Amino acid sequence: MLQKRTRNIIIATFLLSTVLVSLFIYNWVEYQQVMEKYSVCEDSYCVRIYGNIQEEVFIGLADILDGDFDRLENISYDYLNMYQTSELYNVSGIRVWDVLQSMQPILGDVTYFRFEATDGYSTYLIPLRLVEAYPDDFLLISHIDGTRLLTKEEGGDGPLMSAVSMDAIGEDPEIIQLFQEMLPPGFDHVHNSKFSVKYLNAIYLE
Amino acid sequence: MNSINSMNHIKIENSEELISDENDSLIETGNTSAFRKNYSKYFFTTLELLLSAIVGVMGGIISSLIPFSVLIKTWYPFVGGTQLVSGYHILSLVIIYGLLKKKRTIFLTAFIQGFVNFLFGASWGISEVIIMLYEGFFFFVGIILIELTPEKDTYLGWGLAAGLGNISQVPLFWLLTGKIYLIHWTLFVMACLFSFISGVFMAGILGKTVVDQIKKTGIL
Repeated sequence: MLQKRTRNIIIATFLLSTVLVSLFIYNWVEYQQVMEKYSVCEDSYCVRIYGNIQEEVFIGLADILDGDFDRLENISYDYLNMYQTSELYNVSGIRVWDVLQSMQPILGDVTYFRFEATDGYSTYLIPLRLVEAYPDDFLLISHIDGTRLLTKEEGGDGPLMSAVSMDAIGEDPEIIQLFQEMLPPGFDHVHNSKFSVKYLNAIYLE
Repeated sequence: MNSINSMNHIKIENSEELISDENDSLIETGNTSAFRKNYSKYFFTTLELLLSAIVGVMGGIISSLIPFSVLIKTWYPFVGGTQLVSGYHILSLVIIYGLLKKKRTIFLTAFIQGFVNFLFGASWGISEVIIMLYEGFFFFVGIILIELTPEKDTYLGWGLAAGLGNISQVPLFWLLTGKIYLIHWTLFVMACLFSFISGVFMAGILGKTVVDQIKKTGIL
């Protein structure tokens, strides 16, 4: 016969496990449904572009590394976080604008976009006009400081990340207002860490 | 020898207050406020300061230099999984509380650990100190709650107190970073549960185990 204390511990553990497993299964099913869409892409890693577009487009890692798009190499990137800590990196990658331009015929009336990651993270919606005005400041990067980004399975933050320069968003009134609405006072200054997405695998167009 | 004893005897007689209790065989050579029993709860003794510093620095080094998150992110697919190994942040607070049984040392150790994290170049800068004090405060609340129950000296009690301490940082960070508005609520709940579990096992139970082993050695 179990003691009351032991019984209560078992019940609490069971309830906690049930909640955790249920939530995990829910998210796993969602994740699998999304990953199934990537099966059409033949590359080892792909960026899915979807949303307000006639058909979904997949851009493979090979295209980004040495394919159809102009690569920017060793661009100085000042990463600013919410605690106003700044770190300087040299990044290499391709312009988001070039990717969108290549899809121009099938783009709908797109005004905003956001970056999304494999782990469920996504950014705020970014006005497309900023990408058009500052094409060199919105990048899909594959290397930082000359080193290829390792994949999540390898313990890294890649193979692709997004990078948005403060030059493009720092003074924009819409972005400033967005940060003031979404973040608490004291942390609501514009910072580009919010748009630095690890494990980038999708761009949603709206 | 007699002259030394008589010198000490004279010193005690000249003191404004008698400070040693009847069971204390040591001869008091000073009359500082730290030794006055009435004030001991407001001051840290030298041992408490030393231990807090040592444990705080060790905690800061472990926090800053060892990438525990790699254990999780290589296989766990969703945001928030690294909370499963976040308990080590408050392990030092559990240990210092266990060794000294003085709740104020939790805050002192949290301050030192946060400062060490800052010195190691934490991306949150000096806010690391505030974050550690915040977590320490919730662990402190957990200890107070546990002391009201029969679990105050059990693994379960310490685990629950540490779990409370660790779970507190998830809503804080997700609100401050705005993640809570960007990511599905189920991932937020999972992150909270992971941090609680991590606090229970990695901080509470492991911390008590370490404390018990240290006490067995008789060092303290």
